[in-house]
Order: sequence, then C-alpha cells, then structure tokens
Amino acid sequence: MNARDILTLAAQNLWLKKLRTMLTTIGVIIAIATFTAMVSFGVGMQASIKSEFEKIGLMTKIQVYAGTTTDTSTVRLDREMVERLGLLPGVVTAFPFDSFFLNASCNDSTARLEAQGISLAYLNNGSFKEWEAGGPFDSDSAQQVLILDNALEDLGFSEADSAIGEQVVVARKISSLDSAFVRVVTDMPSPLQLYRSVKIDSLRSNDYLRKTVNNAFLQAAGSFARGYFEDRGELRDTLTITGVLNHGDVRSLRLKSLMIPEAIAQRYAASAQLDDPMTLYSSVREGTLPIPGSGLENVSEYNHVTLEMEPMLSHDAVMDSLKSMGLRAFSYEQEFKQMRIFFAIFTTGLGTIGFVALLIAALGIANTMVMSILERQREIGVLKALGADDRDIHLIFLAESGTIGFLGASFGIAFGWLISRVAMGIARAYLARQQVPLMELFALPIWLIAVALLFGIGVSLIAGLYPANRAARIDPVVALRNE
Amino acid sequence: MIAFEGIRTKGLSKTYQRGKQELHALDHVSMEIGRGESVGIIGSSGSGKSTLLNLLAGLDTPTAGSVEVDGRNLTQMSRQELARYRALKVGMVFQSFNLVSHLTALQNVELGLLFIDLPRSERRRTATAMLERLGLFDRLDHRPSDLSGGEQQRVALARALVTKPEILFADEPTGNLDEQNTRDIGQFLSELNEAGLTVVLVTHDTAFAKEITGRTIRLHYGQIVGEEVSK
Repeated sequence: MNARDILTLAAQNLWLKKLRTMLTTIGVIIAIATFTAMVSFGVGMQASIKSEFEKIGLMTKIQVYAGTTTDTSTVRLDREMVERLGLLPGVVTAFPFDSFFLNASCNDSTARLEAQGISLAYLNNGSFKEWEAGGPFDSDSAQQVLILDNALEDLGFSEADSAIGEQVVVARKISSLDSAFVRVVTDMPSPLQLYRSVKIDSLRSNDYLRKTVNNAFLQAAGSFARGYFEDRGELRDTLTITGVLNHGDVRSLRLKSLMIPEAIAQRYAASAQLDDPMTLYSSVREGTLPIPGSGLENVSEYNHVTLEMEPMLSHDAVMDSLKSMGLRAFSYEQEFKQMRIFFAIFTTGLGTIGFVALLIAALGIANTMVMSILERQREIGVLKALGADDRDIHLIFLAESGTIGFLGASFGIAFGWLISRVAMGIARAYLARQQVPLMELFALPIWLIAVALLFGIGVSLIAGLYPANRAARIDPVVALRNE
Repeated sequence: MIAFEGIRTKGLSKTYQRGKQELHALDHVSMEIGRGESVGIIGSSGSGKSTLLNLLAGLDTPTAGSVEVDGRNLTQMSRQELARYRALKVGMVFQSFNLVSHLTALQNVELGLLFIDLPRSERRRTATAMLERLGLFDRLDHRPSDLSGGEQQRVALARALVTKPEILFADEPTGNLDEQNTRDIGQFLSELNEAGLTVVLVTHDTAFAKEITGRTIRLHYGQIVGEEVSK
C-alpha cells in the first residue's frame, strides 16, 4: 500500500463524515490561529524594535560617559580620551557630544533652544537616511545649522520645506573673567569711603580686624560673581538652515533641537561649561579654567562620546575595555541582546496559550478518531481479511489525523494572519489618534508558518497515535463477527 | 522431501475463554485439502466451521496444532507474513458480503488489489474486468445499498478473486441469497474449481455442499465426525 493510496483512503473516510471532520478541524484552526497570532505578535514586536534600532544605526553605536576607576578617581571624557576611544579595536569613529542652550531668532521669533555640535562625518555615517527637508551642512565649519522638526514652530516656521535656506541668528551670553575683575574693582569702595567705614581705634582689636577683612573679602567675592555671571559678553552667529530632521526618527540618538557644525559649536560649548558653578569651581581648582570663545582645545570635558562601531560586530570586547578604563557605557547592541531574551520569554508565553488550545484540539482529534474506529470495526476487519497488515491500518488512521492537522494548520495560519491584520488595523487607528509613530506589531515570517504547520500536523499525529494503535490491534475475526 | 501442495492441519485446536469456562471451538482437527480440490465443511451452528475457516485463512491463530499451506506453517508466520499470505494466496467470501458501504462496486473490488503491488490504473482495469466477468458491468458505480443480495455477493466474489488467489474460502456464501442466486453462485464456484482454484466452502446446507464440492467434511462440536466424497 503506497502513500497515495493511504492518503486517498484517509481523505475518503474524512469526507464521509464531513460535519465531524469539519468541527474537529475548526478546533485545530482556532488553536493554530491563536498560536500564530500570538507568536506573530511577539516576533513582530521584536522585529519592529530591531528594525527601528537598525534604521537609525543604533545597533552600531556605543554611548560613553565619564566614570570612576576602582580607586575612585574620575575618568573624564576629554579630547585625549576621545582620541583613545577612537583607537579601540572595532571602533570606526568616536564622536564627542556636548550640549548647551542658545537663543535662536528667526522670523521675529526668539526661542531658547538646546543645541549641540555635530560633525559632518557623523551625519554621513548612515544614521540619517530620511530628512524631513533639505540635507546635511557643507562642512564642519560652515555657517549652517540643522534643526529638528519640533523646533520649527519655535522659530516661526509652519513647514519643514519653508525653513530650508532661511537664516537663524544664534546667540549666547558668555561669562568673562575680565568682567568679573572689572566688577570687583568698580564695586570696591573709594579710599574715603573706606576710611569712613573703618573705626581706626578698633583696628587694634583682633575680632574687629578679622570681621572687617572678612566683610571686604565677601564684598569682593560677591562683586566677582556678579561680574562673572551678569556682565557677560555675547557670542553670536548667523546660520543658514540646510536640513530638518524628524524628531521621532532620531529620538534614540538624543539629538538636540539645533545641530551646529562642530567647529562653530566648540566656542559655544566651551563657554557653556562655565555656566555651571560646580564646573567653574572645579576648573578653577584644577587650573583648567577655559577662556570663553576660544577653540576646542579649551573644552575640558564632553557630555558623552558616541562610538560608531563596525557593523555586525559584537560590542562585548569594547564594552569590557571601556569598563576597565573606568568609563560608563551603554550599547544598544547589548541592550538588544537582553531584549531578545525578554522577547523569547514573552513569545514563548504567548505561544503557550496557543499550545494549550492545540492540546484541547488534540483531544478533539483523538475523540473523533476513536469514534471513527468504533464505527469502522467491520471495515478494518475486511481490510485485514484482504491482506492489510497492522502497519497499513495504523498508517490509514494516522493519515486521517495528520490530514485534520494539515487542514487545521493551513487554515489556522491564514486565520491567524487575518486576526493579526484586524488587530493591526485597530492598533493603527489607535496609534494615529495618540500621534504615536506607526510600527508593525505583527510579523509572519516563513519560519513561523513552517513551525505552525509542523506544530499542527505534529500534535495531530500524536493525538492520532493511540487511536491508530488501537485500530491496528483490532482482531479481524472479532471485527468481522460484528455484523 | 516434496512438501504437500495444499492445506494440511495437524491437531488443530481453538479454545475460547468465556469467564472461567473454556469453550473448545475446535478440538484436534487433522485433515488435508489438496491443491485444486473443492471441499465442503458442513455442520450445524456452533460446530466450529467458521473457526476452522478463519484458521485456514490466517485470520486467526490456533490454541494448539498447526496449519500448513503448501508446506509453510501458518502458525509460525509473523502477523505481517500472515497479512501477505491473505493478500496473495487467499480470497475470502462471507455470508454478509462485508462490502464497504460508502464505496462503489468497483472501489470495493479495487480494495482487494490495494495490498498487492499494482499501479492504480492497472488496479482499475483488473477490477473492471472482474466485475464484467461476473455480469456486473452496468453496476460498477453502484453502492452496495443499490445492489440486490445476489449482486452484492457477486461483487464480494469479484473482490475475492481479483487478486487471482490459489485458495478461495467461502463462509456461508449463499446464506443470505434466494434460490436462484444460490444456484448461480454455486455454479460459479464449481466453474472456478474446474479452472484449478482450491475452494473451501463452509455451509450448514449439506445438499448445497455436496452439489458443488467433491468432498465434504462434517464437524460436530469442533471435531471431524465424518468425511464423504460427493462427486
């Protein structure tokens, strides 16, 4: 008896009991549809997030922050460190990042916006594939600027296209040691005022003398601080907008509203460091006080450094190196590895729901097959009398349960896909109303179709094993006596 | 030594357990049926005729004794070998026809060819020819429920003979037929035997057995109680 004969007999027997076959198959369809839709959701979420990561190049980036070594000394992200990071194996380029606030004026609108310096090399490294309008600036020293679309309104633009070619005036008050000393001198009382305020007789008293000197020192310090923070100069540039980026697309890159060519941004970044009193204090203490308005060599420390890695390379080695250097680092590739474990558990959990449904459907198959055997005892006896051996009978019944599994799995996969499309339609409408960027929540890769198909057929065959064995063991004499 | 060609039983016994009681369906039956012979096994109900037939056809296994067919001992065969024996060497006809109700006459006859290696087209051609030979060329696509008793038994005969077996076992083949159909079937069995087929006919109708077989063996309570050459 060949495979075709077995399948033909199985199909004839199933067709004979159409309603029962259909009801049993519907059980498998529901189970496989549940399994497919559930796993499809888990796989789709993972694929979607990975795709988003890859789209903006996050899988090849490591964010590096200042840290501390084991002996608790601070490891800073200075120029020298950036150069060292650029030489680590697997690192294509190290991009230093610093951010600062600027006053930006355009179209009679003025806004205080966060800005950052960005190099042309970073722009061209593949992370910025889609532009709302325009494109990157011409060079690292061009008087040009890029903006995020969420800053368009602040600058008086209604559309991204209308901003291209327009000029933005960026300005920043800068602190100055000169102005501080000038304020100390100008605030200092005249000799006559000093003479009048001091009680000459009391100068012999140590307490009075100390109090007088302290007062004078505090007055001078106050004047220095006021002069430093209030009597500031201004850095100002007129920049042409060359490109607008969608803030949603580059959310994970932590880009600021204004992106200025690196060479121009360095002056602003250096001055911005002195805004923070603690930085100012530590700079004074360490003798690294920068001169506002000067070049990059005066930038004492960067906010963070982005390492652009070679594609398809594990970040483990570089992460270990960074850790041993005392730096803090964040790798999306490593984070994604963790996420994959989470998604594997998540998807398995979802798949288990489908599996439980399939087990229930398997009981239905077993029940159907046992019923079929009871009804077809005499037929089995006839087949044995005609020369069928146990294996032939076993295969006929297995083919029947396998056919139910195949039909159930095939239609179940299609039904599961339909469910995912309906769910996606609902999700799409909801996400649009919430103004959340649309992402594909379901995925039905070939491997999932194959797994669902094998799963459906496999479980059905297992469910058919007991009835098939029972059918094969039927005594033909007893079966033929059942008239 | 040349093996005996035909069927030979030695001390063949079959005992059924009914609760604590043992029922001896066959009790040390020894006999020989030569190749090409036509033998009628007769006896009243419960005499063990059908049990003997099932043992000879390899459908059942004896409690004791042996069955040899052309020198091969059936009791030493595996279940698979017995199935092969039934498929290639034996044809069986039953009182209640045992046709598969949802299959057509042609499909029922084709069932007989399923277990021998024949291409599908050859199976169809052979089955059609056999049904035509039995005068059923206009009943090929009829289901058993659309056929008369005589036609159903002819379909069952066609199914038994389509594999060109060496031995035909017929268990009360005319038990459900009218006089005319009984005569027709008897005539056909005689013709088959004349053509060289070994026929073993089980019936309680002694006259019918004597009419179409050359020898009758009488069973009573599982034992051979008489043997008679009828023609």
